[in-house]
Amino acid sequence: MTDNELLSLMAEDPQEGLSAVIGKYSAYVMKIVRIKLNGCPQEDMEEAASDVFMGFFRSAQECGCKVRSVKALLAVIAVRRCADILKEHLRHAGKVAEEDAGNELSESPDTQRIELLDALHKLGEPDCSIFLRKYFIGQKSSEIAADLSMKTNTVDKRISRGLARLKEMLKEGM
Amino acid sequence: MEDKLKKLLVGMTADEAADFETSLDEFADSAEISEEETQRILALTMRKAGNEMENTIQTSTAIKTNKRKWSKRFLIFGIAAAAIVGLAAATGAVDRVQQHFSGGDLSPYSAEVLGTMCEVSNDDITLTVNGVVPDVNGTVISVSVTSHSKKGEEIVGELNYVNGKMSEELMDLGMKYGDTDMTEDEYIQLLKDEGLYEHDLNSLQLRNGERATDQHVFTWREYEEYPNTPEGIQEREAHALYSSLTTANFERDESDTVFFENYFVIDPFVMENQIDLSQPLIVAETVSGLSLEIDLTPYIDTRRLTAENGFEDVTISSYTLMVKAGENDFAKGLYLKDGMLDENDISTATIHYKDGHTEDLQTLMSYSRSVENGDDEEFDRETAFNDPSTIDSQELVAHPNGEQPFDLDSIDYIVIDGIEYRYAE
Repeated sequence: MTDNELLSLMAEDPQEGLSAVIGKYSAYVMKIVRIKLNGCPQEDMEEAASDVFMGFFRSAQECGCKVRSVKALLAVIAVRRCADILKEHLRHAGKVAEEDAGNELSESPDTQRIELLDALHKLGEPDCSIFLRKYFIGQKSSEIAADLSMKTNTVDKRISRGLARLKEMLKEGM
Repeated sequence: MEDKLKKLLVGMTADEAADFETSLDEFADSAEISEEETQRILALTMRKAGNEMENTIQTSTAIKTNKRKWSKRFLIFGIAAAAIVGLAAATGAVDRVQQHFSGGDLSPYSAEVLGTMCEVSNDDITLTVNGVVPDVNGTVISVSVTSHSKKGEEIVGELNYVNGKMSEELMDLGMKYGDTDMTEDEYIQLLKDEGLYEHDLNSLQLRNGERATDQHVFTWREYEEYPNTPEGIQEREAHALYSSLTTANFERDESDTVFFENYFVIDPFVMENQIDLSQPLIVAETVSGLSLEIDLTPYIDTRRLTAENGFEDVTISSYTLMVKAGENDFAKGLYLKDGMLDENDISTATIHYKDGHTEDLQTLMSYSRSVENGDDEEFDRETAFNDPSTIDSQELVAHPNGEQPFDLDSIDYIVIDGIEYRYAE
């Protein structure tokens, strides 16, 4: 089933559509969750994954199932949900002021972020993918290397060089 | 920079993330899950969806257990304490208050350094340096220090490094909060709140000229990448030490967080990390405000190599062969093969020993180029990288294949890209 078919199904029959999205993307979402909540008990990770699908469900409903990229939306929700779980942990430990606890990550365009994303795209492949995996999803260099059939050292080299290029590009751009 | 990157990317909108669709496709390719897991997630989600449709507010899921093992940026803080505690607790020896490495004699320089004593005035503590492995161009700097107390147990008690409970708590905090977006300041505040900050974990300091380290404990190394063996701990500590020195080269971000992971910091490709040999390199060990300082400079043996029609700046020390290619070399048409366009096409180095045997080294290459990106980025980059005039500098670094340092006196000559280099007269 293509993503468009999934979204159409979700528009017609929300529960059936959600079920199909989970069937297709549970491995993908769990891969992100496992990276982000590395070491966490399995049941907590599955709980987090279900939160992600619920978040996706709500977002899709809000926009009439007009989602540009299912994978991208799931990834953004997953990364944020995992960050929230860690924040909740802090709050439970009484280390974060209540008024700060509910702060959500900004959805508004951010000049710095736009410049950074632009610079990331300019890095080209595979560097762009490596940076996304490393700094957005949080994969370790060794895992990235295994996924991309590279040596860990090569991944590190590319990151090291990419960081220098990014720094340069951002300096020029700002 | 890395901290900033993480924060900015986590704030990415779904629309912005959609521009990375291809990368996410690749990421999804290798994702795996069992049918049982999928079914459990499906059941959990459907239950929540059902509840939501009944207008029941689903409260967010609280973490159920307190003990987690996260991989953590702050963890090195805990590890530093744990190493200290572990040793002192294991030996129970009064006179071994603090030892950062369990590896005995590590250094070709130990003979000279061993016996260096420092009697600290107004106290009875004597610190003895057991072994030092300084390698100015490479990745290994290790320090082993034993403290001898003339007052025996009384002094140990005053030093109070030994507190197993404390270290476990500290470790736990590092594990719990290492991957959060907590700033270093917040983490320090947390430690203070928990009564865990008053321990002098910044006891090891490296200074090179004007550059000094202050917080080697706040590094971003992922702890689990080092095995939890004496060797692993030793390596991790050495990296932390080295990063603590080299981060002094970089601007710190607004939260004063060290933003290079250790294995970036020790990356020989980052040339600014090189220690300035014209300035003293000093290791200082401080225990309860008392300090011992040793200038390591005299113990670093770096020898220059020359060859007719060869690169001008070629050196070898106990752990590092290094070639720095610059303007003068390029003017002569001499370039290193930096592997930029073909990772297999890199410069080679072979050591020829006086007894006739040879050692092929694994070379690590780096370069600095000035390349403009054009409209057709791929085409322009390819062209630019094929153009030697874009190269500003190049560097080759190679380390011993095994754990032993290079035996500098046994080397006859070294062949780099077919050219024979011998020690300069």
